[in-house]
Amino acid sequence: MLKQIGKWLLTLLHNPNKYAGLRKYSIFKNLNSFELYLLNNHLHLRNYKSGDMLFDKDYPLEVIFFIEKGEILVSGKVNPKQDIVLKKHQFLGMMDMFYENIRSSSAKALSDVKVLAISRYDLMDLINKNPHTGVKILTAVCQSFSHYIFDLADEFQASLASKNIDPTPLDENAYFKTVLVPNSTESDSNPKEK
Amino acid sequence: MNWTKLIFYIFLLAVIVLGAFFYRWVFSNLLYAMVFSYILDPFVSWFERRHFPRWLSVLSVYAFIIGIAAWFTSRYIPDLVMQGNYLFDWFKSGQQLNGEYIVNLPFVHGIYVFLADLDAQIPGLALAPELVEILDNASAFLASIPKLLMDNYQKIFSTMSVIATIPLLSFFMLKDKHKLRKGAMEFSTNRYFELCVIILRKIDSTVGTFLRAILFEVIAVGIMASIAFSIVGISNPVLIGATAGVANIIPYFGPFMGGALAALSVVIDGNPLIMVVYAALAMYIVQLVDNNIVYPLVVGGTISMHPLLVLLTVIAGGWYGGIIWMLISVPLVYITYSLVKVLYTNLRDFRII
Repeated sequence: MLKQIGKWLLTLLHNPNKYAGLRKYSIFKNLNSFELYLLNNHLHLRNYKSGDMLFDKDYPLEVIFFIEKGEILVSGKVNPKQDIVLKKHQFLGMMDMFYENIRSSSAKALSDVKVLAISRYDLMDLINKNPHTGVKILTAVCQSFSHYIFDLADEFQASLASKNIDPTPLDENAYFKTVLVPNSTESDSNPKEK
Repeated sequence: MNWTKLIFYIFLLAVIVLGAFFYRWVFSNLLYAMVFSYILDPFVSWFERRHFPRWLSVLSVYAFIIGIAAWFTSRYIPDLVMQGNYLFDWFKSGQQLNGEYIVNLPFVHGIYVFLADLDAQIPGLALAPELVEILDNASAFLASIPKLLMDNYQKIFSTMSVIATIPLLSFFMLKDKHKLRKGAMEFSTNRYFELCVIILRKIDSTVGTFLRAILFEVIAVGIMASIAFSIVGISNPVLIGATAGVANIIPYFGPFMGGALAALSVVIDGNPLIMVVYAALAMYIVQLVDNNIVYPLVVGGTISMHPLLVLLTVIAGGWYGGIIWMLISVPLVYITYSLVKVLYTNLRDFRII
């Protein structure tokens, strides 16, 4: 009974549904209302017009963007096709965040875009100071990266098949030599060196 | 040329200038409130992470501070008042505290006798009467301090009322911290958005950490110096220790002020001169602990400013605004220097300059 009253009082303090929209982003899907409230404290809403650059390659990486509306073209080395279009409820900048301090790609608004932006340091601060929340976010990030890797693997298989290359036994450099970067040298084609 | 835009910008500029003119009297209050907010923010965030709404977190921190202040008042204020009264009476005794009286104090008497001997050997030198005259003037100035306080009670009262408004302003700054930040970021254009986020973060980390470190250091040095002076046997140890703690804000030279005040106390009381050495030793040990344990622990490093620059900054601060500016000039210059450095680095990284 007391627990129920406590929960009810908490709902008075923090409206549970106020920030529920943030759960549509895969990395925030497991956060409770209070954790979303803490997260929302650091989010900035930004609007970009069609054709505006969100960021350029090799610029310092400070902010991660979550797309609320519109489409964004990302051009860079993180995707084998070089260019990828991100849509509503997808995010950009996360992969660079765990790699280095500069952007590896450029992002351009293909239509009028509304994004939520958060400083990578604010996000890491949130994770460090709220370990329980941090585990939820980082688990979701890992899941997201796993999906991305398996999607790449599927693409890889499909590409090999389309070029009539037998995928077994697998030559670990075959994909990079033949599909991704046909003219690359041996030294820069090994993904493990990254 | 888009005339509508131009007229709008002129109108906007006029509104800003008028606003700045109207609110010019409260800028200093806002600045003090910001400093207060920066110091309290981590404690408010601590409560907030424990499911307290922001307003309740701020009130909880205020209640905690009031509790500490009440305990401190009941425990230490009687001592401070007693020691303050002692000094106040000493100032008031300026009528009898004339040059003739001071030259009979043990340490000063030695100097007076030495000068009198010189006068006797060199006719027409008259250094000893000169010393008495200087001491007369100095004691007359000291005697006028309580009168100055009485005459300026209105100014003191208005300063007290300014101090009283700071917690109120800070309450709103702390409660609406995230809203204020988001509002401020909305003014930035998309091109400079990321740069503004970096600058804001650096201001947070540099200013916040530095102010909290200074406050912690003032308290730590104040307590350590009070204990050290009472062990050595200096009179008014709490008052002199607290002053030494505040003076410690000025790197390199602040600690000397605390030691000098303790030495002055020894001379005034007519204690043996060896006590001056004990006081200096006590202050040296306090500094040793401060420099090697307290400061590295709270800041993670010392102010990387050349001693010459610190000296020039302190002198410039003193010329500009007296003792208060002597205290705040070094932190202010350090913070400004750090921010300009960050701004320059990032403007280059973003290829703006």
